[in-house]
Amino acid sequence: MENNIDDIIGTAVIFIMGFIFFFYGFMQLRRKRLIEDMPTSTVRGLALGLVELQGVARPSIILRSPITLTECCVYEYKVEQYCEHRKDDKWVTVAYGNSFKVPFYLEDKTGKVKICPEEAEMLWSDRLSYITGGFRKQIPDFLTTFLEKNGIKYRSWLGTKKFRFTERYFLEGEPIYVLGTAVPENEQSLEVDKQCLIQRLEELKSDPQWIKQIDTNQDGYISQEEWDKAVAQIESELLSSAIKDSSLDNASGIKICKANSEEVFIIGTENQHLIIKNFSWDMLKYLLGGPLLSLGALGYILWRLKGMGFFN
Amino acid sequence: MVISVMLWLVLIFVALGIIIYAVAIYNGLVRLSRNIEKAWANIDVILKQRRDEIPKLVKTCEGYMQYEQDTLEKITAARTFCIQAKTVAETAQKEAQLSSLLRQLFAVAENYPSLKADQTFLQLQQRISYLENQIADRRELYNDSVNNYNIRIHQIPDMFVARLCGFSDKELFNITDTERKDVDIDFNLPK
Repeated sequence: MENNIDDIIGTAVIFIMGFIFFFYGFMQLRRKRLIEDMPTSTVRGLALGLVELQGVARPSIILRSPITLTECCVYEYKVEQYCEHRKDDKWVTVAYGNSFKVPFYLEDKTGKVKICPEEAEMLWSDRLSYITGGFRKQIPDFLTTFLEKNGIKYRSWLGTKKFRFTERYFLEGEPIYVLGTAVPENEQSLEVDKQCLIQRLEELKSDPQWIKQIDTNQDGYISQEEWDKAVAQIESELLSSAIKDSSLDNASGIKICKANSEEVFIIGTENQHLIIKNFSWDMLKYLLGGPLLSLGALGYILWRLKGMGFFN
Repeated sequence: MVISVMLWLVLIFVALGIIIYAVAIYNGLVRLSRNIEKAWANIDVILKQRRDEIPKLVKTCEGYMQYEQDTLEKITAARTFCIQAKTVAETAQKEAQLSSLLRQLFAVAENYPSLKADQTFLQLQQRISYLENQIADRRELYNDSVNNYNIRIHQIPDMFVARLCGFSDKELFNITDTERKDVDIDFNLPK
């Protein structure tokens, strides 16, 4: 009897989930129509508010993706370790990072505009999705370098632990699609510049050549003075690059980011038609799947109740 | 009993689906309509900026172009007509005439080396050219918005909601070739 009630409660949850999926399907429909209805603006004709842009990605500072060390405009990575337990085998995230605090540019034939990818829904595919390691298996060198640098132990008593590496990025010059809010730039941009500096320093810290270069007295130790000098140099490099950017930038004074008033901020590598197609599939999946799930769950509940003698 | 409950659920889903879909269509049409208004307001801002530059341009040119008073007067008159324009079509026509006259003025300015060397004139020329490019970009965006809206209100099933709620066609910001070339300005300015 108790088992029956547990079963029915579980199925009732599935029944409610069917309704939630159904409404989620309509939310996807709304987003799909928003993309369809929004005309694509040029950077030169940009006005404040929700805008859709298409162009190519340009970096504000050249970043290196941490795993494959590819030069890019923005990146995201995740490393998961396979954990075996008696009943519950699962992937556990052991390292995650992104460069979403560092802005990049979208350039079209009329100019370029700053994109702040923080809080954006990124529609991009995996550039690296690699499962490696395990019993009597070796992990490629470039991946072990990454694991060692991040202090992740990968050796086990018979080979290596099993890892899944995922990395995504936009390359310079790669076509991108952006649907976001154009807002005037304010003091926040200074904060962003600081992020650029931090990102750049983090990258350079792992470059032995650079460390050697800033060690002016060659004593193998970076003093506070040497470090401050190096930071000042990087800061001045970033500043001159920013000045150069702003002179080329037709939409200077405007950036694209997530605004509180708008729920959408999409950045993707696919073109608009593909994005709409993906949203259409999602929408159909939920609009049809939701009711089917609810119907199935209700049928099961009624069948169980009938078995328990409720409809006699 | 089981079958009738299931049928009721199917009916509930269908009814909910139709209601939510109709609301989504209505909201979509409202958004499109507001997008057009916003796109027009965005063009209007730039048109106003261009109109604000014209008195400065005319003043700068007057000192150098004694023999081109006719062109300068035509530009001033065209600017006044642009300010008075009410509808999208009227604005499009008047602004096209103004653009055409400005192009004519910049072409004539080639014959006046001292004017061409004047920094104020050069800055104004650059500024007006930039504004004209912006107008062209925003006009394209406006026309795309109108086109999306006009297509939607004639498509099934949006058409039913549009008719029920009184959504009608909107005007495009069209400039015909004749309007581009036509620079004859009537000087009967309002007193």
